[in-house]
Amino acid sequence: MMNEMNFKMPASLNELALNLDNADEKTYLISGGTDLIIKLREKKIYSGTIIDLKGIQELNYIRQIEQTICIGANTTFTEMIHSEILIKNAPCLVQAAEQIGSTQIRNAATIGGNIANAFAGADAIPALIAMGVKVKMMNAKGEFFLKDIDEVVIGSGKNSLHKDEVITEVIAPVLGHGYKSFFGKVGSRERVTIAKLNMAVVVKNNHETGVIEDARVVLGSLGPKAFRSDLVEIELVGKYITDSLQTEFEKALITQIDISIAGRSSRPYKREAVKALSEDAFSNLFGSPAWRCNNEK
Amino acid sequence: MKNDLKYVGKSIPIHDVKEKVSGKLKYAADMQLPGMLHGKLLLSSVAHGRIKKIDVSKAEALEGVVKIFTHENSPNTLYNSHKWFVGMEITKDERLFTDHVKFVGDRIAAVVAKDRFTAERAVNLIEIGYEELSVVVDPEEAINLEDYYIGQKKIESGSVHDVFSKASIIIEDSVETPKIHHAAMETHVCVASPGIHGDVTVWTPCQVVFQVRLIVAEVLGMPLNKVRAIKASMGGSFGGKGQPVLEPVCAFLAKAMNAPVKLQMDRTESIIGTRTRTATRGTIKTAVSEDGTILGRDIHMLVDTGAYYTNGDAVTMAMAKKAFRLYKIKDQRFVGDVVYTNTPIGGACRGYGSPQIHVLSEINMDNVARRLGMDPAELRLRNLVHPFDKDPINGPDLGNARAIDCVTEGMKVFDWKQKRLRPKTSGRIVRGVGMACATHGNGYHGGYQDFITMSLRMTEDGGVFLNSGIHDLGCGTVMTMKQIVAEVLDVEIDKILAPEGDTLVSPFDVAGTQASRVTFVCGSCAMKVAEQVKEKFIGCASKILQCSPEEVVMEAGEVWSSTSETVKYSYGKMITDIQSKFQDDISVSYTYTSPANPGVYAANFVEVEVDTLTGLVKVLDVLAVHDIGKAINPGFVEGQVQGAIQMGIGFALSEEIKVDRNGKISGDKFSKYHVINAPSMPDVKVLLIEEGEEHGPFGAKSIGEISTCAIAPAIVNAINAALDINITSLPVTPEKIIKALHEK
Repeated sequence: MMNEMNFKMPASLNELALNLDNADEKTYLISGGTDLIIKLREKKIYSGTIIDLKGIQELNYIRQIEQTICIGANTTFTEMIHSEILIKNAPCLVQAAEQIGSTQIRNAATIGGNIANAFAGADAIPALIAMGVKVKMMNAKGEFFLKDIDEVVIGSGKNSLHKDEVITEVIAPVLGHGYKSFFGKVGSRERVTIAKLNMAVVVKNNHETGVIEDARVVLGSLGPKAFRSDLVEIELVGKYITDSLQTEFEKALITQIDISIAGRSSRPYKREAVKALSEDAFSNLFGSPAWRCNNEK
Repeated sequence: MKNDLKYVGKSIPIHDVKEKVSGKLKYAADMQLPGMLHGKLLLSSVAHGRIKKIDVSKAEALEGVVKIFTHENSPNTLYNSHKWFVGMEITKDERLFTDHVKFVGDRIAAVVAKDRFTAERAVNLIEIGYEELSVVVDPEEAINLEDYYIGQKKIESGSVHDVFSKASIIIEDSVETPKIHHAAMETHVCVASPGIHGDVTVWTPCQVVFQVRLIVAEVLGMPLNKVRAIKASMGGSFGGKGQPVLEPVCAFLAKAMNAPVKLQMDRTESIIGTRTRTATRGTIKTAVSEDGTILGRDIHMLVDTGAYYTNGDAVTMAMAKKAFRLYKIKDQRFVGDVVYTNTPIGGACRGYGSPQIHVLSEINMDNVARRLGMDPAELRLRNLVHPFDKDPINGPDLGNARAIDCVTEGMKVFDWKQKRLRPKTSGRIVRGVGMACATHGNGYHGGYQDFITMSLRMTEDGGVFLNSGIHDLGCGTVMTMKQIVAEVLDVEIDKILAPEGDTLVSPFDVAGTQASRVTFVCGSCAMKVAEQVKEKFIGCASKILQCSPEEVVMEAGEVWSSTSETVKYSYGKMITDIQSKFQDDISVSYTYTSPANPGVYAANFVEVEVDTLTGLVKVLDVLAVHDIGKAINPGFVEGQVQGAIQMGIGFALSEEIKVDRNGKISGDKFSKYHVINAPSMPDVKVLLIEEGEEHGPFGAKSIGEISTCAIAPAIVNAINAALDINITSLPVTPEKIIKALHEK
């Protein structure tokens, strides 16, 4: 028959490197398969080689090594949701993982696959960008190298990996004292929904001065890839946390949406719905408005 | 009598529950026949055009491809898949494979290959040259175009003109409903196998085996006796598998290849290429007095049947009739215009026009109440029909119509008045309550032929064989029939065999599982045939027991004479004795003709929560009150209602097969077409009003369709009340809510 799909399941990184050595345009890496299987069907791909990474036990872990958190590429979103390390150090990543797909999807889909798939509406990617993660990759020679997440995810459905390269690990910094993070999304229903809009925020709030010292605001589903919004971040940095700051934050978000999707039919809705994300972000990061007023004095 | 029912009124699981949950049940997609080939359809990618050229050479060259069929090598017989009995006269405009595509999804060709994946691959290699024609997707445009306009249906009672010329309060609304996919878990599938006598057997999850036989025979020019249709295990239909779609194609392929063929669709094909809920644009004007009495009503429905005629006029008439059977309105007019568009085909979909007409009328009722400053439930109570009212357009009598009970009981249980008058919150999250009423029918009496033949035989070991052309669509039809028979004959459920439809061996049924007729009509037939068997059995038994028939007692599988309680026969022993003594068979074949078509009624009460920033709606609570006469199996009834509410929330909030002005379809997969999933499902409470219906078995009436008719308008009314807006276009998406809030 002509429907020839070869299937390989290396058990170690060494074995994987050997497999990658023969990789060509028809080689597909799979780690969960929640996107790839659908793509193969949609694009009518009937032949090639699938290399399943799920047999590589050494790619499944979440570890903290001093000031870095290492997440193996095979780690599923369900595993991330239950990781004490991530719950403590990267709430935005846990919040994003919780809102991805369905329970079944989260049980199968992996962080490595989510990055490689580079979907414009992916939920984990804004959180990873906000966290400032680096992506560790391996080539067919078994050499490892690092890139910023932004250099790996380069467009809608596009990553910068060569055919003989594989994502092996995500490395996130431990953000340290005063940092907080948030992820939120708006979809067309409560659960199991693709984001119409998503946002990850990482802020550092100086508890002594009450001033925001660092802010990273990443918006997704507004273009080919998620991006940090300078104009929103500028609104936050150096400011006290007040109700009027929330209003300014919201205004900046709306401005960003107006710029990013000018002329699109989805703009009128998204510029309203972003207010919900703004409100959720503020109450999640800084507590209730009442608390904030007291704090300012 | 009512209180000592032994089997009726009990929640017994569906007959094949064990096989289903253990994975043993075989669906049509699981079937494997020796030498079976696999078919795959090529559906049109343009919305309107003539096919100028079909190049199948590349596809044919693919190893494993056996043959490719197009309009060039297949019958050009025109048919209408809606036709379900031989005498039905109807416009025929569909053919197996077309050379004039009329929507994205129209059938152009089929590849037959040795395996399914090769067939799929080959389909993509077929090259089509189209001459594209102008596309019409807007029914408002279609109504003015000769090629697209089908016709008008009009019904009037009294004189609307007179009433409206005098009325001082008139409330008008325009309401839109979208095309909807049935979203059965099982996509469309069919297996056909040719016989050696020039015959063909078709296995299909269908609703009407005799309709499948008829359509296949008509399209292939075969005698009815050469086509055998067997109802396969059903993985969900909701009307979507009512009209034969794949069956004539699959039968043709099997005959042409002289080999068994399996033909199945994927989700996208099932969404675009089968049938949809008919889209409507309605306008309604209601004239009322200050006290809330409806003086008159004028309804116009623009009905979009899509690319083919199918049931365009039938579904319009179905809508029309419902408008006259919910409220007492002396002067009322319904005008329906039916049009074609270059969009997916309309067909049967749970409720058959009822959800659409009720969305229109029930949103309008709330706007009437708003205008008058009345409680919408009180407004309805003032106008709802009463038990045993007559139909103002001379349709069948309404029977024991308990619409008012549904509303009054529902108001109490839901705590309607208190919830409605609760002060509104002003924050981001707003809550509101809404309600709506609906009516539906019980079969075809008054519209079409409505009869069914069943035969029932008592076996030599005390079993019972009920032979009939029933179809269990997953709603419990088989068990319902068994419960009825068990009750009449006082025999254990497990002793009853009640197979489903197979045109070779099932007695004839004129209409199948549609029109909410199964419990009311088929159930009555099962009851009557069982009663006749009982009478015959008692007659014979009395001779053996040497007593009068009145003295014969049948209880729990045993029969005896009340004059001599010590001598008890098992049913089986009695049957054997009857056979040896009288050479007679305790079996009866009976044709039951439905004498009535009463209304069923429902009131739904809902509470919703709206996020005013995202426009997302959460349905928190649903109370569904149903005038059911008598629930044969309350578990099945609740299951039906739960599923119907899920379907209706999707209709209200998220489901829509969207077609752009070029006829391109979005919402053709589940990542874009959102049905209501488990996390979004509210708690659904079901309250049954069981006051009995004269012609229903043990007083039972229908539930399958009525259960999805009131929920959508109830939700829309709750949203509109909560936000003080007036959205009248379904689905009420977050985008529409945000827009309405903005424009407020």
